[in-house]
Amino acid sequence: MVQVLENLEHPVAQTVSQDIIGYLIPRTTAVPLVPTVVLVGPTGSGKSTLFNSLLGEAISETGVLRPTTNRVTLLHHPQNNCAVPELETNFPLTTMTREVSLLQSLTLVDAPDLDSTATNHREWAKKMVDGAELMVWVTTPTRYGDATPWEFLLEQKIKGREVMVVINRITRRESGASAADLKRITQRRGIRLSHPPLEINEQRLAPSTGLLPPLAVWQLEKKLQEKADPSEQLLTQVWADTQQQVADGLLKLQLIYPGLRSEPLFRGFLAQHRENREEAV
Amino acid sequence: MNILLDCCDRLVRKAVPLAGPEEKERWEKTLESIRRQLIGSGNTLLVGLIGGTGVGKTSLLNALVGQEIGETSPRRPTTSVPLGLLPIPTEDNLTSWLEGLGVEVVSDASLPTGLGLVDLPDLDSIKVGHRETAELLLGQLNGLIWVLDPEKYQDRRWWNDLLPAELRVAPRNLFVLNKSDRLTPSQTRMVMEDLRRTLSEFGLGNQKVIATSSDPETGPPQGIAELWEAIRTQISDFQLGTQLVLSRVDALVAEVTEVLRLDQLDELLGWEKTVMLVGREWGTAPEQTDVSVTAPLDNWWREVETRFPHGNQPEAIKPRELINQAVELTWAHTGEDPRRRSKRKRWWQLLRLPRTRQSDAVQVELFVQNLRKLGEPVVLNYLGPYFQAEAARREWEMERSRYQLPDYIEG
Repeated sequence: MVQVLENLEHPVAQTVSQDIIGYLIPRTTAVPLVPTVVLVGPTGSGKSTLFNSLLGEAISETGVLRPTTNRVTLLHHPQNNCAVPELETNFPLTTMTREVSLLQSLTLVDAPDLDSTATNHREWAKKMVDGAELMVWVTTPTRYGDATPWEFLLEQKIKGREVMVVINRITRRESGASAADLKRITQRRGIRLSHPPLEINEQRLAPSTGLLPPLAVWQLEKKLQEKADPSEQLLTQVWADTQQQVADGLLKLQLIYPGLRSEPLFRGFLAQHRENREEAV
Repeated sequence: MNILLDCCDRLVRKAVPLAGPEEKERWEKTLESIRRQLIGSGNTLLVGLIGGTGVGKTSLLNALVGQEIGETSPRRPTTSVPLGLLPIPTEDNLTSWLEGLGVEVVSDASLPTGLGLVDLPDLDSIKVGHRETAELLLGQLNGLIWVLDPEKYQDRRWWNDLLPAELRVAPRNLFVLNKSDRLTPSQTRMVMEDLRRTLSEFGLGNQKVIATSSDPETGPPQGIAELWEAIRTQISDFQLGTQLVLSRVDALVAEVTEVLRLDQLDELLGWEKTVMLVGREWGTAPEQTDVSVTAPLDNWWREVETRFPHGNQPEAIKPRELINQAVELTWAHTGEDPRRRSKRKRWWQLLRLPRTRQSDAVQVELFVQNLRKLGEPVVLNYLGPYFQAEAARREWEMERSRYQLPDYIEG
């Protein structure tokens, strides 16, 4: 089915096939128990520092040279399995397990930047976002108005997913103003935020480990845990939404390419989807 | 200045259909760089502060002049109207010219003469209008200060989209790493090194990079003195450049006129077929030596004057005298009669002058033919705009004398 879609060269077909390969298929082969959360954002916004601070250990490399992170790091709890989309052989993914309390409720991914001179970073980040339930957009007071990362946010809007926004590296002067301004822009552009933007102050990192003090990420950790809590049904919700989107996309494509109606796999998927929905109702 | 530009522009446009794509591109680039030098006004260096949103362009401008001129705020993007800062006194027309481009102009006495600073809106934010305003202005500035910060110094928008295109034409660049106080000194060194490495990847290894910090909240500004020094060097560099640019005009015009047929040129520039000859003698290749004079257009006059001391007024130079003097001069320099075959390379430049007597013109033509027969290279060099303006003046004088118009009727 995916092959048929990829031959179509229609933007809708591309999105649908991305959803199928990137999200649906990995989740049918390995059923994840906890949602996947990806940290993405512009270069230098402190994704890796946040990632490390959340886990309490210097796992992903941090530094002042840009772009810093040139690989994807995925961390999950040994008891949870995680769904990883099929990747090219040279995809720089590191998968690790840690027994940290936060990881009991979610799988955390540190992605490379979206806007540096290294173009493949952007593709890698995109692949990880496609295959995750929640995107955490890490930005800074300097960068939240940049156009390039916003393309990414608008894509999430099309998919109808919520976005968690963290404004990192806030100085005293910018406190409050940036968050309010960013909230205004997201509202006007119709992007759904899971919470009002979280603020994290610019501060000295612990000299030996390079981590933020636990107090700084405490709020983010709490919000993430809340969001990933089974009662929030993030996992099932995104799964259902994506299926719905794929179904919508297929119907749209059938209108454009009438030949697709006789395709058995398409019919099978749509029939299955209809059944599922009726069951749910 | 504008006549000069206009004339070059017309010349190039006329020659473009006759030339290959490579030449066309090269001419347009040269024309653009000449335009860059001469644009706006003769001797004021217009420098733009360019950078991403939030890197502190406006606060850097404020730190440079030591007072709050532009508004800064944590909201992104901040600056929406470009702000121009001009010295007092300002060159004529510069203020109105900038205002015509949509720049809010402020005059400041502390600014050194010969420098104008323009704070541009960002080029990378979600406000597309800002980008358009800034891009429109980019083409109108003589130099740029690229403001980067430790967060944004590796953005694709700069290195891949904007920088290569702008650098083709921007003759003067300064790179500033702002907000360097957010890093420790050793980190700053690392970032600067990385930045220099990236610059050298783009063939800009020799560019100056200065670390500054200009946020009044975090402490006193740093690196401003060094930046000023770099800017001052650029000002003097620029004023020298204005003189040098005429040589580029010459080269361009010479190249273009090779392609154009002579009658096309005459038609284009409205000249009669008359010539003035200046003998120039170089060792192996033409080199530009006389750049010590102040105004660029004086360059040629000065040369004519020094080489032909009798003719302080250009009108007074007669072609036949010119030939004789050129021959004498060359003879004196080389110890050879230039009319005889010589192994040394020699260039003869023919400058077109309007309205010389037909018989004199014939003399010159004959002389050129002889030179060519002797195997001397002759370069035809047309200093269009200068002589065109001269032609118009003379024409007017001639008309007036012909019809005996009273003096109070002006053109």
